[in-house]
Amino acid sequence: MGEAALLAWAAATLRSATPLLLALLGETLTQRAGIINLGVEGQMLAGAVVGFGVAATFGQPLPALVAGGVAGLVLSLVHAVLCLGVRANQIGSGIAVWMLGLGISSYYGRAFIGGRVTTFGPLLGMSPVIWAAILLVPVVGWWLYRTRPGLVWRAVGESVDNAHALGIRPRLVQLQAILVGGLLSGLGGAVLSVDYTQTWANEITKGRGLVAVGLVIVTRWNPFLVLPTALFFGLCEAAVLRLQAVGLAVSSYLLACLPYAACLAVLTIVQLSARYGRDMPEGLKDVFADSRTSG
Amino acid sequence: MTRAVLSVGLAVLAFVAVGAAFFVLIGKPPLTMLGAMLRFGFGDAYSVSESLVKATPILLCALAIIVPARLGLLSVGADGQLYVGALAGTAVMLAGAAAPGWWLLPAVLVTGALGGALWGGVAGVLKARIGVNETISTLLLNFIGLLLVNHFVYGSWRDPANLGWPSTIPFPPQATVPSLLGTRVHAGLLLALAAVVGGHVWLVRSRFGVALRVLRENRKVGDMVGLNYRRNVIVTMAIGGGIAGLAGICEASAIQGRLQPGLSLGYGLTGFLVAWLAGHSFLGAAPLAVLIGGLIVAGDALQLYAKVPAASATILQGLLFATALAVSGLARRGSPPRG
Amino acid sequence: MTSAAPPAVRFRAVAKSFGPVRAVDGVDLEIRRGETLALLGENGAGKSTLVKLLYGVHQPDAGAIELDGRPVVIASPAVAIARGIGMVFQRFTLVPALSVLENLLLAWPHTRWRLGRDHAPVLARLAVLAPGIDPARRVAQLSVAERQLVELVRVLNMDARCVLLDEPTAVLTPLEVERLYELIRPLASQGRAVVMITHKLADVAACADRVVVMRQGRIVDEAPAGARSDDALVRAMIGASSVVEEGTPPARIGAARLVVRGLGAGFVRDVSFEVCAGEVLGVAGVAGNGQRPLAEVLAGVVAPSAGAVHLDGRSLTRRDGAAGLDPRVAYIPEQPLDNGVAGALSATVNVALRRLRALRAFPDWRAEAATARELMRRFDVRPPEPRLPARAFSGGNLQKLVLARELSRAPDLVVACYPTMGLDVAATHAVHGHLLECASRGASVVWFSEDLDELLGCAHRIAVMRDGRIVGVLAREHASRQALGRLMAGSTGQVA
Repeated sequence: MGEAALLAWAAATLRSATPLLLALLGETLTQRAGIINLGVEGQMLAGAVVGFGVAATFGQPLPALVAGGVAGLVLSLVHAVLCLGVRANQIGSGIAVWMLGLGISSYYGRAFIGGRVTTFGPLLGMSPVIWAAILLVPVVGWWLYRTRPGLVWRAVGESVDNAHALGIRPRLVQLQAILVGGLLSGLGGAVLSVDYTQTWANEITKGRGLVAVGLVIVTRWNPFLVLPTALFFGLCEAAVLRLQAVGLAVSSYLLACLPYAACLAVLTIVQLSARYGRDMPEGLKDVFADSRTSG
Repeated sequence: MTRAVLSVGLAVLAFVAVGAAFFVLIGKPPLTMLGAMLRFGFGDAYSVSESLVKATPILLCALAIIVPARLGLLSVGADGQLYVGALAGTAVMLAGAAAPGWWLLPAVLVTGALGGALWGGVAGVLKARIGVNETISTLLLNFIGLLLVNHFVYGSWRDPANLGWPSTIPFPPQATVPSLLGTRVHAGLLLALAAVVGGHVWLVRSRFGVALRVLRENRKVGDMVGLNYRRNVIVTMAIGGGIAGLAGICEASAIQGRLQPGLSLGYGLTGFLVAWLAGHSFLGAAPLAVLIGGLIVAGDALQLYAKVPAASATILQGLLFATALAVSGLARRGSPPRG
Repeated sequence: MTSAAPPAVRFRAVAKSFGPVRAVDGVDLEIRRGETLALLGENGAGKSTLVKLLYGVHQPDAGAIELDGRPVVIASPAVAIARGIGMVFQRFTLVPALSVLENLLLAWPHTRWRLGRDHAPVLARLAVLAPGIDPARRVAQLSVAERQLVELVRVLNMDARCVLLDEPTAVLTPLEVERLYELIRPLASQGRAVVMITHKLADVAACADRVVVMRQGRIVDEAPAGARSDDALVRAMIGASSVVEEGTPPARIGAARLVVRGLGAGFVRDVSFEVCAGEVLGVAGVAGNGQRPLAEVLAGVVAPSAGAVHLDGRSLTRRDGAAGLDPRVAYIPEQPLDNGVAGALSATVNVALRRLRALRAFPDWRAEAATARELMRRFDVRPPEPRLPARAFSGGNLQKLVLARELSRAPDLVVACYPTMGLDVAATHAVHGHLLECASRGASVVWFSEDLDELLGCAHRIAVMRDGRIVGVLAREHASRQALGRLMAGSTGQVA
């Protein structure tokens, strides 16, 4: 493969990976504090539709991204109120948020189907958003492992009771974690519609948010591993498009299974290894263990 | 029985409140809109039949969620199981299409159920043997199931005669689930209702159903008396998957007439909602599925007549779910803690 | 010699109840600087609750807490920490997944926003107190004693002027206990107020300047250390028996049926004993010394890590994947609602639970309900309504329900774990009757209890558990509250 083709692959991978990267980063932080939020998919969709709407209306990509992030944050507030306020089941609550995001994005997106927006001009060959997202990863990682608030965050995820006994306010931390997750996933959705596809289609995220929740386990709740994980997923996606263009004999649909199947495979392997028990925040284990269903 | 009635009643109340709030928010008169929805969903024979058509796969998917939930498993995999069930059943249909006989329909249905059972069983085995969380694994398997169907429908199973839209050849009459009373409602509904009644009796009165309850209520005690949790994980996931697989093959056979992309219109997710609202009881799921089916039909009609996007039905479902969660969370707060 | 300065902490008529239970019942206590106070008492005496009131984990229902003479409200541990009160818990508050250093930084009040490289002030005490511990190691990899040391460093780093230690020697080996004493003793001389909760007399002798004995939520004795003999302290802890239980243990004792050799399970180590047919072996000891793990291994609920259990020559040790408890065994677990029944299910189902796997695919629930009703009447479960869910029954009736299920199977071995805990007199009497009846029919009975009077009245022999071991077995004729109390508290000196 020529150098130009290689660069094209790399660029496509990065572009494809960025929305997932942001959502993955957000959910990693949320789960680090001991909360699982399946509503990431809904938050991404909300961010995507709001971001697209703002971009289409005002023609400016930056306020669109900001608006998308805010939309995701607002939607995540529902999850926060349900989980922290009334102690609702986290999985049920996340799915409710997913439904809401799904509905809201279809509802308001109807007006935008087929529309196009312009985005940022390229910076060093790629959208500046991609550079920002890549830089965000080590920043977040540094924050989690090398600052006091990050340490507190991790402690809360391990044990709410112990954190409380140490004088921390765990629910406040968890609220922040959910909201930050909402902000980042909303941003990821906006990046998807405004920067990546620059158009709107129904259910534009194709389950990226749900994959992100699963992939957090693959990243072992370590923000630094978010980048390679997202890149892997982006590569699979880029491969689907490129191989299709080349006319390869492999069914694009089987290829499209790859990220999901790979995620499942890695989850299985990780679960089998002893390290899994070590890496998962203790607070999450109660959620992942047989959750009691209602009634 | 009382729990079923209670959950339905509460759901209706919650829906009225939530729906009214939603319509106020989007600037439409709430009472008028709610009345319109009731008319569109159940106002005449046609609406009722359409609601039942929608309710059938929703109910089956809800049952697919409820069976593992009786053990405490939170599966979201009804969509994937639906797709794989449709896939398996269609394979048999294609094999027998050249020389169909009376045996084709039962074979298609059974294979459909088996396909779904297999898909559910995969998640079950992953959970029982390895401990992979069933919510995440079923979510991922949903996508894989959907893509597998696409793979075949766009590929080797594609009907060359159908140029505009990818699909298989139509189901021959011998493989078509019969319709009821000349409407679009099909025998799948009867299967679903039979499953509701039979399943209810089975889960409540059989040794197996009681064992599930014991394990869910207190795993340690269940272990102590020799109940095997892991085996029951696989069994319940497989049974649930089989029911969803039935939904898939019935949809393909009776409603769409062929296997094509977009087989499920979010039935899995809606089924999850219905299962939850029903308090994970078989009996409660039936009327709730009909109500939600009506909601979706009304949503489609609203789009035509009131210029309100059909997605409002999805938003309303989401709001309903959130309300139900909040209410049950608050109710639990009121009751004294155990032990 | 009056001191002008007020005591570091004063409790004034403090009370705290949890539901109907009065954990702390009108306590007046002073904690002084420069002094190590030992808070002595049995389980449930209220010492842990009292100290948790000071640390802000609970809030008093009545009375006041004063710090340096001023009344304060300590609404949460954060407030306690801010006021210089540090607590080393029995259940550690260290986060196992984080490193030692990270745990210390978490608790240190002066940690900066950026966790830099220089952690000398945080690690200084660690280097002095526990030089062998690498601060980069995860807490999960440390031994229990090492964790205790890190906990202590955590509290000292707070420059806590009041250090609260909750059962600090509970899980340590004798050597580790000695090292801990060496660390605790100088704390008070540095000007701190130190409170040590314990039920062991050795702790008191080694570290305390003053002893306060609590029983049933009240202070029953207070004296400088050394002013009271061991006997006097034990008497204060367990009190004089008020009701003499007249049990009637069966006269005949047959051959050894239950043989336990070298049993080990987690904390429990090297337990060996035999129980004959028709014999009741009581197991006494303060809760938390390994009774529950031992009971579970005996009954076959969990597999032991070492040793074996044999009943009538056939093995009773649980193997992995075994199908439930051996049918010869009746198991009466402690806290029946959590461990013995499926609370939401009906009494009918719960009574049939041990036979569940053997029932038909569609059992005749009518017949089962009739059986259950009959059993409930026989065992005086009120109300004798089998359709009620198990959790609807009060504590005493639930325990009788479990007994009905377990004892009606004519077992060869009965393992009863605190069977009368929380029951009223009538229910207690009924339980005694049923257990003794089993013994009279030839079963071996192992009966764990915290109630010495109960065991003295009903058992043929009484074993005492402490620190996961059986530290003594007394025949009924030689057993007395004093003798048992000494074994439980670990007082030195042989028992007559």
